[in-house]
Amino acid sequence: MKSKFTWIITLFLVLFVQLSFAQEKTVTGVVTAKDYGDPVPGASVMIEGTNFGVETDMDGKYSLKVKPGDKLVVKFTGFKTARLTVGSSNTMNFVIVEEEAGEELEDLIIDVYRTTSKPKSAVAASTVTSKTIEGRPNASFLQTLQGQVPGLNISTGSGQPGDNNTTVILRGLGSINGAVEPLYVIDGVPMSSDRFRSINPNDIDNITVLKDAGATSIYGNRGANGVILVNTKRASFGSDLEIKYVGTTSLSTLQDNNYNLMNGSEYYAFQNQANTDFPGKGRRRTASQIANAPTTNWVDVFFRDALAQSHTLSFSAGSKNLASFTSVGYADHEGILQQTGLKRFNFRNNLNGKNENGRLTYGTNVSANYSKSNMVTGTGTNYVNDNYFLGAFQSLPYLELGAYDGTYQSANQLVSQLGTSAMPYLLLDKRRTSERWQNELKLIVNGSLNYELSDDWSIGTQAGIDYQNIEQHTYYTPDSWNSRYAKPADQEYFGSISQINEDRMVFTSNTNLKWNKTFNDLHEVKAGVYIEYLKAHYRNTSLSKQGFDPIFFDRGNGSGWIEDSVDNDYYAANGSLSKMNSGLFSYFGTADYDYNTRYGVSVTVRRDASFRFTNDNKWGTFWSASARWNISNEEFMQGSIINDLKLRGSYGTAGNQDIANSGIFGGANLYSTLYASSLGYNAENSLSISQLPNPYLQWEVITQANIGVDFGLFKNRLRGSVDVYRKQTDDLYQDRQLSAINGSTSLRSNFGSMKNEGVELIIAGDVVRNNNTRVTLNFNGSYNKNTVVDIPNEEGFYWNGTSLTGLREGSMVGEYYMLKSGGVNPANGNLWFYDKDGNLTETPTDNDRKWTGKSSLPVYQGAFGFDFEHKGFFASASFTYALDVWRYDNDYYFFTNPNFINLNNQSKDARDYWTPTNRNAEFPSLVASNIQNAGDSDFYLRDASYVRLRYATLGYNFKKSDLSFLKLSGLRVFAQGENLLTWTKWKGWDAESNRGIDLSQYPTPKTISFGVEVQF
Amino acid sequence: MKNKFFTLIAAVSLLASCQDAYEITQPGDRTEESQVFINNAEIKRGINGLYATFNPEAEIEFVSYFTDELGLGITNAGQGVNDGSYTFFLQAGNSFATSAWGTYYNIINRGNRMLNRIDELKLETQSNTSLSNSDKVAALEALGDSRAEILALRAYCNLKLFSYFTPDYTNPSGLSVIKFDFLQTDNYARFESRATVQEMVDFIVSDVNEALSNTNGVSPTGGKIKASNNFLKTILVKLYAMTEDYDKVELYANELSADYSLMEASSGMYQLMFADDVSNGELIFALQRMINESNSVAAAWYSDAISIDATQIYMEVGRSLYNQLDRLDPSKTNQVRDLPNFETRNDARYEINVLTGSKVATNYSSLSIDQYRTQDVLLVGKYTGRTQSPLQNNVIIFRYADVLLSLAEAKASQGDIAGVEAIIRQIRTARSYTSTPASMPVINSVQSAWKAILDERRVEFAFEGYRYLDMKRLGSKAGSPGFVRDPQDCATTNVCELTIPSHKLTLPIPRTEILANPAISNQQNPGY
Repeated sequence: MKSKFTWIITLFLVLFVQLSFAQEKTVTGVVTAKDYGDPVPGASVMIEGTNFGVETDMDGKYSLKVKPGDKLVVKFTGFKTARLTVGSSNTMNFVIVEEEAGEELEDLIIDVYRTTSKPKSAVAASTVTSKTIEGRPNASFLQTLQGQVPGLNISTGSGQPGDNNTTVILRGLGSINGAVEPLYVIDGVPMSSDRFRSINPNDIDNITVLKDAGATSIYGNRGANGVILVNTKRASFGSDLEIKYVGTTSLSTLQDNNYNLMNGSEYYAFQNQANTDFPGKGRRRTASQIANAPTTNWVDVFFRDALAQSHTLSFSAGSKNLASFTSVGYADHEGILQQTGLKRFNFRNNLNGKNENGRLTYGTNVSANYSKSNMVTGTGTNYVNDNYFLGAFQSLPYLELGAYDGTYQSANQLVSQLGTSAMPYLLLDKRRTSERWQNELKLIVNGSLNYELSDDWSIGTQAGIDYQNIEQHTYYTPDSWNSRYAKPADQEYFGSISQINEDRMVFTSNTNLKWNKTFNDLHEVKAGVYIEYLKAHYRNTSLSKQGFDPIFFDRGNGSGWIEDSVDNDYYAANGSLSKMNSGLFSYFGTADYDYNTRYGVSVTVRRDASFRFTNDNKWGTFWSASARWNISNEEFMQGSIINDLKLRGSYGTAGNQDIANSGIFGGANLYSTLYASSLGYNAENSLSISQLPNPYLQWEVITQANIGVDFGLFKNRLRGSVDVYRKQTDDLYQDRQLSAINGSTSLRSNFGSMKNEGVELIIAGDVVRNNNTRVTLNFNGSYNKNTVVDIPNEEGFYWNGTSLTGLREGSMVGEYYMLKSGGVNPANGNLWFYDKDGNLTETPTDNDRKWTGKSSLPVYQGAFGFDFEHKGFFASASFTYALDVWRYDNDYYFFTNPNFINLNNQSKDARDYWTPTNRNAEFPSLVASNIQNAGDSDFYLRDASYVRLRYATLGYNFKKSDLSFLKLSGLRVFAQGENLLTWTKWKGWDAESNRGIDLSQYPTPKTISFGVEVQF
Repeated sequence: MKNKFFTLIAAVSLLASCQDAYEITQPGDRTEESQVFINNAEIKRGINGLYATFNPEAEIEFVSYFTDELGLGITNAGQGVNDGSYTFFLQAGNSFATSAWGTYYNIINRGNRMLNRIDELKLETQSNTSLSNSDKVAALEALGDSRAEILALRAYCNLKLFSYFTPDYTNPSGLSVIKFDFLQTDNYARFESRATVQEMVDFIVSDVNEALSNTNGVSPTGGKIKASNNFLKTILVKLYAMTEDYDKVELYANELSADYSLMEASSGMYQLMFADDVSNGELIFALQRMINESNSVAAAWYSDAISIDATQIYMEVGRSLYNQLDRLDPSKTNQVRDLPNFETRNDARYEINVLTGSKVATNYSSLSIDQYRTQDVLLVGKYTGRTQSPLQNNVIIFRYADVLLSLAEAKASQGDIAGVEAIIRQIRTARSYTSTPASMPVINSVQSAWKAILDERRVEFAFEGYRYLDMKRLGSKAGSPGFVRDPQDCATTNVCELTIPSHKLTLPIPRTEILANPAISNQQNPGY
């Protein structure tokens, strides 16, 4: 090892000799404060890396002997450290900026392996601090992150508090069937899933999003889709005890919709009109029935104004050698759908210690979280006895709430009377008799140890465990309609329970040796070698059983258990047990070189093994190189309006081993033929093949090139960065169609490629910045173009024959492939479609489907907003937007399809159907012969672009002097709103979703909250 | 201090550098055929898995919707209409075409693997010096029995593929389906084009003949729920009826006549056939269904029970089929269903197909469509369900009446219209409660004989998955207009008939196969 570095050191010695003969000169200058322009007396001006220096005089002036290339460092308590490099000029003036709370960290890019000062970082990364995260009324920090980072597309598909149905995609889809979400690393421990409902957002100190290959290839095996680093709060050494309380209370409500749904009278009138126009459709209603029709607002029956509260109390203190941060949190978030919610208890302790000389440091993070989520089943399905949202949104408006008296008999009678239209009653019965909840225990424990062997060498190790236990309970009481539905008539006992218990444990360890040396104060060289090991275990047990004695039945346990009997298998309990293991192993090295904070290069090489692949494909090698030029540190830039300018570039590769998107455990041995034993014919056991092998499976490889510029103008009043990237995924794991003779019609294999090209911009400007007031406008946005490069068949496109989307070379993933709607034929009221030649037809075939050029992933997305501060008052707002997003509105299909008249509520739009006297109609004749084609047409493909006031805050920060009588050191009160306003063409309750097709899903709510932050 | 520290770090990294992180075998994985099919007993379990894969329920569902057997049910909520199956909408992505093609080739694939394994086991047995000669003979014979059973199932799969995907059965050089007679494991780049009709016929016949020539025949102890020699002969009857090789139809039909007879309604034996009687004298082969399995034949039409009290009745007996059932006993035609007196109609097929509890409106054609829907509720009653599993029954694959009516086709082809009439009389007599048929069709020409056969098959095999192919084979000969719904059954869908000839009587080669298989990509069936 040492011999390898000899030549580098020799090279540096040569430079050293040359420079030491350079001429000395005297520079003079003034140090002033930025906001007022006042001179700063008593500031220290030092030559970096030496003991030479002076203090400024009463006028802020100084004079110092220096050599060209020396770096001057200006320090003054309460202000940020300023640095300038000596150039040809003999005058060097400094403007120093006041430090703000929480801002120091923004200057550092800390990843799991390296800590780099921001000017010396060559990677594309964005950091969000606790200032943004704290006190927001979201159960999961992912929702808070929305709109904060350019290129990070966060879409939440559920309003269930703490639901993990949030899709986070960085810089476009990196895979078609593999994992697309970034790797999450909490305090250095890579997480096994993106389930964060147990993590208290108020404990988070900062979140860093690593985007380009230069930053992510060090995470080789799982970093292909970017990395999100979450660091929790820590205390600093030698600090007094600080106690902080953050509390919020919020009220959430359902967002509005634009479906234009009917009330009872309108529906009666519609039925009557339909029946008049088309006997057999609709229903006869008399004028007085229409006039006196009842109306039930089923949305109000199933939804509620949901209350939430969250409390976090933290203690932070540090002695000379030990620092400790402890926090305890409790949160109770009600969901807007009745019966849903999340309760959470958190405990965290972060401890840092060091020895007397500071060479040995260690730290531990312990976080224990327990949560209980009440959730519902059936969401998004068309099961009228299961999906509450279907009941809330689509139930017939003229049905009366009182018709159901809360018994099985009543529900059953309503079903025989109304058929599937008894939907709301069945769901009320379900609500009365059924629940599902999950108890989750999540422990994240890690420890680290570092020792500086000498000034240059250090050695360290880190090990962590992510443990998660989820217990899921579901039950239906014996008098539940659902538990008796479709059950043998001769059964005496009903009701069911099911329970799933899942344990997962992921152990990660990392051991490293680092070397770090600065030569002649100009050349900084860092290098490190690492070994990383991951092993994970999973265990799942489940039990389900039907048939319970109602006298003893109790929710969530087995009391009243009816034993299975020989002639009646109905009462037999089902159980299952499964176990899976997985592991990853890697070794890698990094090297960084910096010249005088002007130029820098970094290189990473990493070799990875995954348990998912076999033979030659087991190991993958990934690498990256990045470079930067800190232009603003060049001499010719001194005195320009540009105070910070850095050009960055990186190129490199990263691997995705989770090619089947099945988490850390799934798809474990797709390379083997597998056989299974199962219950076969005639109740005898059978044997058969259960998996076809793909021995050639390999890593998906993402190669990314990135060029970026970070800039600050007018003394950083205008600041931001621009990034341009091109990201290509090769060896995509795709569906390969098989001839049926193989026993299966598709098998996934690595074939073809896909690319994402885009631009990201983040910019902020202080429009007003003075002693009392600050107004900052900010904007971030991204453009991403996704292109499928290769499809594994000759036609160059793939469509499975039924789906609404397909894949086509040269176009984006998930492109809608549909019939083009041509309106209604005025002659007969049938639907018209465009055939492949562009002519109108009533009988389209599959060959007439067209590529729409539209998909459900936004092309443009981002956020803009402002921050305002004036004498303790503060306000901020952030608008998020997503443009060029198209989704299929399946709810609207139900609201307008004539086959659903009498069955569910309809949109008033549907009244414009074709009749011989209304030939120019939007909707077809109620008896049109080709209604089956409507669902496959682009008529229901709707523009889901939106601009949303994602959040707004208004608050007051009390001055310390005002608080002295309370003996508080800080007090902040604030009010916030989430999802307050949305501008969109989308008709549904929530324009935002991570799905391309939506039917009665859980919309995200609108939330108003109040919070207080107290520091003792 | 420093040294200790190094030791600690070294220990940690050593601990971490183990191969166990990436050399992982999941618990319970078996990856080789020889680990699984160790001996003939395990081969038999493999064959058991083949039986379990058949899905005749899907076939019955498709045929009932895509012909004139059904009408919209009283609580239909878009079933059949929104997917177009009730309105004769058929495309290359059709789910039944896709699943039938995939299922049958899947079974053949697994069968071929086991045939190969049987060959290996035979060699192992022969070279096994520790076995006595008589043990060897017994072991080889047992393996031979397994081989015969697999061949029988392969022949059946091929018969099904042949019948659904061949546009013209009678053109020996016309395109049929893929001839799959080889071991296919993981050479995914092997692509086969469609064989000719003659090649497929020869393939099926050779499998049947080899199985029949096995020392013990096929599954002598399997009863009627496993393949048997008669199952094989029925395959030949069905095959030759399609290719119009009527001499052979006659030959095998006559052989089968020795073992089977029509079950009589008057003794109740006919009705028992549809209530899971697996030893029924008319039954040749049925697939056994157990209550813990998910396949449920009546789930195609009912949500939870075969009853007027079902939560949802998606579909009912189509009025045009009902009328034909109704006319079987002219003395009772156009009367309400008088319950529960089974003597009411003198042809049991009326009661078997129209469930107890149905509501019949004798003036149905003059009712408004709303009244028709609520007052004329004709429930599908062919299958009666089980107490423990309300929508489930065994599914009849072959029964003797089918063989007899194939024989009638042979007679019609020879112009023997008296022979046709005799067979129809034989069937109607068996179905009648008295010793004479309630009615007989007028057969005075060859075409009327064909028509009588097609009409008889319609009432005899209603809801058994036959109608679609019957129309394809016999429709033109019988001068039938095709599938015709009663106007009341299509008032709200506007699609009342599928006239013949129609390309839709041959299923499309599924889109998945066309995409995957370059050898077949330009061999799609006409019209798709």
